[in-house]
Amino acid sequence: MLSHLIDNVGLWSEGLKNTAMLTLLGVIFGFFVAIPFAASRLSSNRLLSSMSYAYVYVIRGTPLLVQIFIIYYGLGQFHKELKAIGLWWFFRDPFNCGVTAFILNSAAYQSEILRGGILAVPKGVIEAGKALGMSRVQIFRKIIMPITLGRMLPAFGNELVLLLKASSLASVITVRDVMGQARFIYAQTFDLSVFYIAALNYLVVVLLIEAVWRKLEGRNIWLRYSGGH
Amino acid sequence: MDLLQLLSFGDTGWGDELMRGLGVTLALAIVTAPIALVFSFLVAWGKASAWRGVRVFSNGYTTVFRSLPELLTLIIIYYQLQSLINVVARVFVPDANITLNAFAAGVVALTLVFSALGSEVVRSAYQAVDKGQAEAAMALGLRRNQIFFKVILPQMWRHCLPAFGNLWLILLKDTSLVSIIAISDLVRYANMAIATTKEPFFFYSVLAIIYVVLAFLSGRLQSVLEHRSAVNLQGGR
Repeated sequence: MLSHLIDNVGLWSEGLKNTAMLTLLGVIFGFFVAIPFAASRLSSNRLLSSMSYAYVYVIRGTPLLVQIFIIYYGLGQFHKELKAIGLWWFFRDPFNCGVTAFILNSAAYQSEILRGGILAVPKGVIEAGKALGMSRVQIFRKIIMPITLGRMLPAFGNELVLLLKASSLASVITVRDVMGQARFIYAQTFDLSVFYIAALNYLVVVLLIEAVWRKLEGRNIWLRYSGGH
Repeated sequence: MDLLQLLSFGDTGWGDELMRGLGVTLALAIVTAPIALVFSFLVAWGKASAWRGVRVFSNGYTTVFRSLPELLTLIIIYYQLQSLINVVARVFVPDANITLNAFAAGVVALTLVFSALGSEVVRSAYQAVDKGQAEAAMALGLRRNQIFFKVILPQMWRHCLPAFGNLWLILLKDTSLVSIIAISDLVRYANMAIATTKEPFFFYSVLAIIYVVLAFLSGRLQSVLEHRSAVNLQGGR
């Protein structure tokens, strides 16, 4: 088993790099896409809020595998049109398609996390901000956002782990992440132990993320204060 | 639209194939769910065991199957079970070569994953039931298993429902992964249709619609069940 790890150290580290890139790009860009979705979901405009509800519903109701297939194979069908608008170079690459799918997918889940967090901000602190004469934007940036982000830290950690696991699906469209490398080496050696090496990789990374998150959450205990009493 | 014709039933369309795939997808989820449910309780029980070994095993089981990508678990189970079965079979018949049913491998892998996730749900639901209930039952002289089955379990149900509904939805979606180990589920039939018709965007969109409908129906069922489970509590407290 160890020989597969040592002989292919280059492949495995490249796989880990790809897995990390897929996950981080997905979570980070997903977060920025999530903000407008959460905002429109909370807006009083019925059309805006129902559109973003529909988006979240469809993304959460369909398997990520199907979403990846739609973007990679489905958009590939329109390569002439994509060439015409100059986007084909981007969607031709499976890695880019994987990242796009992860961003769109994670945005839906993260917008729900954000929405829940914003709704849970105690009314009192918003009123306090108003009493201090802060503008709406200031209240959002300096009061609502910090409290929401701190409060939602556990949920974001969870989302990070879920997306890390989900990133293995990119191997299905030939991206060489950890899972992709395992399948590649297995196709040459027919030795099952490569999958156990991959499993070990994922396990270690997940446990690391969880350890880091426990530290982060420990520093934010004050945010659990919910006002009142 | 000749695209819609592709969905017709019969020799020319793929409607009947997709329906067959849907049947396999649903069968997989429906077979897995009750087995995973029972194992969820067993693993949760193990976590609260008085024996240290059992506790460590149950916690390790949860950590491992919660951390591994479902696809990886599925592939490992599929290949490893196959070679394990053959190793055992060759003890009795020297040149045995048994091919494992992929559906069974799918059920085993999904059960491992979802019992790990479910055990966390069971554990928190157990903690959500007021300790006083068990103490009252003990004071009434009920036996341990009576306390669990007659007092605790009926009250846990209400706390389990939302999370189990969520897990059911994830299970439905995760069944799509079995298409990779050659089970003819919905996704695999769509792949076959695409190989012939060269219409990936259309067929994957149809798949997305089918899954959304399944999610919608599951959501309806869940809210009915949740409403019912809360009926006894209305007006109280």
